[in-house]
Parts: sequence; C-alpha cells; structure tokens
Amino acid sequence: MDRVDQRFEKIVQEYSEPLYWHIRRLVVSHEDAQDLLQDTLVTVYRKLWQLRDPSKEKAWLFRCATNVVNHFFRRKKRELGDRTLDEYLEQTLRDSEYVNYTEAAGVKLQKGLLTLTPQQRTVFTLRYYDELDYGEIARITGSKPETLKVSYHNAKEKLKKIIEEDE
Amino acid sequence: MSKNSSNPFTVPEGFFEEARSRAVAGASEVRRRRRNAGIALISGAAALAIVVAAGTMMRSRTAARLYDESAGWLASAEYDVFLANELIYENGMDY
Repeated sequence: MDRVDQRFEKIVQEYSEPLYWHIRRLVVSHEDAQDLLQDTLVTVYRKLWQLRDPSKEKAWLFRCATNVVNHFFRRKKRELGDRTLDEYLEQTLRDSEYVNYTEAAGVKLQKGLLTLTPQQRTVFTLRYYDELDYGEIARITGSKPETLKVSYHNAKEKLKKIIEEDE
Repeated sequence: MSKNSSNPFTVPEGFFEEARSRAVAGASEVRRRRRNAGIALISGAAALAIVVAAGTMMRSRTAARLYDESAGWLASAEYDVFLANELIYENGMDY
C-alpha cells in the first residue's frame, strides 16, 4: 500500500462521519447523502495528490464535499422541472424514513435551515455544526471571511426568529 | 439553539462501517481503471511506434527500388537511343 492509499484510508476512518453529516444537513435525504458521500470520497482519492499542506486537510475535504453537493443541486434543479429545490428538500424532510420526528427542536431547526439562502445554509452548517473557523469556511466557499460573518449572523438571526415564532 | 439536541436525522444501523468499506472499494476501482488506462496508453504507443517503423522501412524500400530502376534505365542502351533522339530533335544533330 503506497502513501496515498494509507493517507486515504486514514481520511476515510476519520472524516467519513463528519463529511456525511455535513452533506446530510444540506441535502436532507439519507439516500442522496449516502451517494454524495461516496462521490466525495472517490473525488478525494483522485485529487489527494493536490493536497500538499496537511494543516488544510479538513477545509479541503469539506470543500470537496460542498462542491459535490452544489453539483448535485444544479443537476437536481434541472430534473425537478416545475418544482423548486426548496420544495423538494421540504418534502424530503417531511417524508424521510430516516428522520426522528420526535426530535421536535431538531426538525424545527432543520425546517428553518431550509428557509435560508443556499449560501447562508452552507455557512451556517459549516460554522455551527462542523465548527470550522471563518478562514477555513472562506477557503471552502471562496468568499471573504467578513462576508461570511455577515452571512452567518443573518442566518442565525433568521433561525432564532423562526424558532421563537413557533414557541 | 442546542447543538446536542438539534440533529433529527438518523442512519441505518452499520451505515458508517459500510460507507467506509464502499469508499475503500471505490478507491481500488479508481486504481484498477488507472492501471488499465496506463496499459492501454503504453500498448497504443507501442502500436504507433511499430506502424511508424514499418512505414519508414516501406518508404526506404520503395525509394531504393525506384533508385535501382532509374539507375538501370540510365545505364541501358534504350537510354542512349532516347538521348540521341532528343539531341537530334532539339539541335538537328546527327551522330
């Protein structure tokens, strides 16, 4: 087994779960997230030689996953025709076999996430759940850290409002 | 917003173990395809080299044959007659 294979296996062990949850929060459906995790890890294996700096590994992996998700959304929009992507995601959240509906607060927060813009949703997920700093999120999204701070703040305020309204 | 109680999503049992195995299998498949593509590339290059070499040899043989034929013609008695006729025609010379 060469160094790339060893490194890849280490990444698979360490990051399969965090990458899956990142993807899942964005695409909602378990089946879609499962396929996209596989696509992400195959992309990671193909492009692993491009990753020179180990300190940027986490951000690089999340960027690969985010790019795979964005590509999936573009394809899905074309497939959906008259329905919007948000409608598709809301329906998935309502009907999924792999959602624990007794977890009311979590379902509400996820519903709230679907009201955000795609940029806000990605930034919120990466900052709040994956606990990445703004520099890392900037590398993932290609935006400036200042813009991301504003985006995160707006997303948080919007979500607070939605949760408070429901209570 | 409590992070600990905010994940409503679940996964089938054993999902992550299966996902890890699938990822490693996916990497092996990429390796296999790369290796096959490498063999195909080397085979393609070798086939091209053979075609070029064969073409070069054929061209050399054809050139040699044409040279021999023209040398034979220049050395022949027919060429002498041809040359004499040309001279007569152009200059009105008789030999």
